[in-house]
Amino acid sequence: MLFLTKTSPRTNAHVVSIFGAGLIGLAIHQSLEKTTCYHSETLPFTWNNLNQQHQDVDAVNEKIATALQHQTGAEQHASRVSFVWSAGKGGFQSSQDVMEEELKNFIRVLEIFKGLKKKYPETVFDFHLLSSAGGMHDGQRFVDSILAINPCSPYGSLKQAQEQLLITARPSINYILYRPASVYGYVGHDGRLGLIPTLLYNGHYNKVTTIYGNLNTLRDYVPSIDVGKYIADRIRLGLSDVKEPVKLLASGKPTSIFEIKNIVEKISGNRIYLTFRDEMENSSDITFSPALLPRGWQCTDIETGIRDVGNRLFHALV
Amino acid sequence: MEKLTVSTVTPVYSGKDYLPDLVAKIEHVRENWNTLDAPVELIEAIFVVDAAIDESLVVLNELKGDRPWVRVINLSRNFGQHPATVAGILHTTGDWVVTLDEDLQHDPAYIERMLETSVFKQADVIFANPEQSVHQKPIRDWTSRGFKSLVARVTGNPHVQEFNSFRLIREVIGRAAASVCTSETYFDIAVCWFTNRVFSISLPLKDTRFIKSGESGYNIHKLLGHARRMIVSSETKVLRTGALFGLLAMVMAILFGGNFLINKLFYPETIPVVGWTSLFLALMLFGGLLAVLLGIALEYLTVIMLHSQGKPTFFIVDRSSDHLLAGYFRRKQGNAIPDKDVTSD
Repeated sequence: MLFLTKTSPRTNAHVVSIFGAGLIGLAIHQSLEKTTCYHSETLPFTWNNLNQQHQDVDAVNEKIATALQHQTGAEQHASRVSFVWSAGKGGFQSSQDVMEEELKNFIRVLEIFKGLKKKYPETVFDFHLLSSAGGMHDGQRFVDSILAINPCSPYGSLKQAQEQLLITARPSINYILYRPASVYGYVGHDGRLGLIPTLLYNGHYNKVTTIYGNLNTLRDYVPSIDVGKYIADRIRLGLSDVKEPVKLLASGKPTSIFEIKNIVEKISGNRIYLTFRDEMENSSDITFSPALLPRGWQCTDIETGIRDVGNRLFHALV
Repeated sequence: MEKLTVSTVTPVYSGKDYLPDLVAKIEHVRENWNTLDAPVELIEAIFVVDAAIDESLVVLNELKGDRPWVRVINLSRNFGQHPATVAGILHTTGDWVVTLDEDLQHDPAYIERMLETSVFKQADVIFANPEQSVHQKPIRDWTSRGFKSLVARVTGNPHVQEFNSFRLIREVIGRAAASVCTSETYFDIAVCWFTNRVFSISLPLKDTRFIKSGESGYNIHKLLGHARRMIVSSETKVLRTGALFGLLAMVMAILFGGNFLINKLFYPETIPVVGWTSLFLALMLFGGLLAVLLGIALEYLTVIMLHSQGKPTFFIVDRSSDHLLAGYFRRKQGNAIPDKDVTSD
């Protein structure tokens, strides 16, 4: 997990714990580091071994206690702790078992959050949950209401369950739910590569890319950097002024895989070879009305976003 | 009930006087389908403001106030009608896209007729063709028709004569064509790269703005620009014809050359003027050779151009959802159209 603290003597303490250092987690981290003086470190947080996890939780608690210990009375009242849940290895194809395990992990983190809130009653606690627009609105075109959810996959049900856990905990927990659409970006080859980096990478090496769907599948693509920046801003500003806790982070512009392929070919100068497979089909269209996009959210256009990913990826390959 | 969806796209340049009526007419179509509980829904009307020279943007922002289905896209500068249409199509989400002009030349009430034709003909594109004189100025209409006919002959694309900015396009085809369009690609030509199920229907179209004011968005400069982009985007049939003429000239030069050689060797007295024939045959041979070589080189160039412009090797389309509309239209017509009129893949 990523742990950031801001303990400048002139400002009130702010602790940010980001659970999940994937595409979005790292983007949030980078954005926070870029714009504010946070001290950042990576702490171990084990998901599968419960005993080890208890030890990791103790270490996190200690870190938070250290960050808050200098603050007393009015100062402590203004200090803040933000938890960000951007973890999860699951996706649309994940099984029920994997998702149940992930939900247990989420509940454990939520318990840590509640425990800390009880321990430091003067401190403001925020919970930022990364949900999924695709998971919540599976197979829906031109979604024009955030309430019209339709979780079809175990992944969608997991995201719904996570959201419900926070919604039912209100008002004791300050929370915000982000539903990003199809997020793309590049943070290295350690994790999963999404569609766009895979096309760029395979194009570079003249490899064939397998598409589980078809060329006309419509999705709403948003760059991880924009998502990270938006969430980082909310983390910095706090949630006291947030009236609508569900934020749909989409572009409002549907894009087909065919368009993505063309843009990637144009940008990289490489031919993209595709093969299509019907099994594990993931070809349903998921698009959103721009009327639902939150104020302050800005999404880079798809071509510029792919150029940025291409630059990062090709730079890493050199 | 499962419903198909329709989006409209309208490039806007100087339409402030027409836009309220246009939005009202689109709204009427939308409400009519909702009232009839038709299996089709007009989900969005996209207006692409192409650096409008009047207050169109202000008017549109007012119009979209209580109409969440109206979307306004504001281009950073004036790109032209085709790029604005392309931008609009890339923002759509409906199963079908209808492109309309801003000046009420294209009545949205005809969208249903276009849909009906497309469903029964299993078409991917329906162009509206004017029933009568659009501009009520014979020279203007004749120039337009003559120009399209000429380009159709030069490019070898018979659909050119049907091209019209009032069109209904299957979304996947429109999106695919729009996504491969560069600034030099003619959008309708790109559409023909993806489908040849292109049809047209006659509709009473009238350019009332031109008739009233005598002003048209098109001048000779723009028409030539259109022609250039049409030709650049097309496989030019004229190149092959030129190369064929060159080949014919070469063959004739060789045949006549043989004949001339025999005459020179065996019947020299039949040649009254020495040198003229050999000079003419040499010109014919090498001129033909040059034409053939140039034709081959230009053919290569065309292949490269079309490839770089994104002409696909193949494209897949799913027309299976058309049956939803076919049933609706049959019911509306009281089973007037027999089953055999509907073809399936």
